[in-house]
Amino acid sequence: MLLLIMELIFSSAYYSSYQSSTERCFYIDFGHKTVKITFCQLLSLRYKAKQMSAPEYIHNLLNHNDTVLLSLCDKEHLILLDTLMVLDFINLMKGTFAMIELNAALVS
Amino acid sequence: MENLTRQEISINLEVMDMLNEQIEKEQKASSLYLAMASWCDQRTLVNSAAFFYKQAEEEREHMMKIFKFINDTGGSAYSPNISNITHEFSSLREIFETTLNHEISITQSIYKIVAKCRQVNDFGSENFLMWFVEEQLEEEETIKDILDMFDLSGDMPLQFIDERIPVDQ
Repeated sequence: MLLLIMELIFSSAYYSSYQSSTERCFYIDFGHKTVKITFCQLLSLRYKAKQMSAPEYIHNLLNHNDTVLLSLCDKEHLILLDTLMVLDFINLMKGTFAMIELNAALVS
Repeated sequence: MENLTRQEISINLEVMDMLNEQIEKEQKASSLYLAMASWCDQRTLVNSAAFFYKQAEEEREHMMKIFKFINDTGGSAYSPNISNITHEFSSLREIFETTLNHEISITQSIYKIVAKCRQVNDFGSENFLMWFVEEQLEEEETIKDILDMFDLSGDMPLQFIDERIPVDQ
């Protein structure tokens, strides 16, 4: 039986990211559901978080739209985020990749 | 924790972001040169139009080269969204001056990525970018030669200058 070990990468206020070395993939815990993602899909989420952190995007979010529909894993999952959740998701991605970079420095 | 990320991607993430920004710059240059080609074509400046059609193709090739490199090394390349390309120019000389300034800004941008590669020890990306460093020097030289020719030609008719624009670079 394969023992799955999920190692915590980073936790933001609402969400957490994990790495599974045995499965060679990552997990994002969105609170109500945990989503398994590949590195490629994680990069895609990073890109979305980067787009969301643009000042115009935040301005639009604060003044016109309160919610954002986030599709992930090649549209397999759809997650509804309100403004605070969007900001937290951006924080999660920044923290996740900062920790990945730190881990890489420690490993090498 | 095992370095799973390094097993998936061979280039540094910050370098990848800068290369994605470079993709946008190269595509923007391609679109700008296409607009310049159109301006020249409409005024029957045949050689200048041919020159800029070729430049537009070359910039797109540069963009594709970076695009492929990012994906081949395990990163994610993003298709650029280009808008606000000007189609208004006052003279052929202005077009070439704009081109030189644009090429200089692209060269500087490449240098910044190379500097970042050295800072983070991403030698693979640095090696890839060496081709661009050489290419940019050649591009700048070509445009400078054309602008020198403008200076030498004085008040000669545009047709005279156009005939001397190098089509086969």
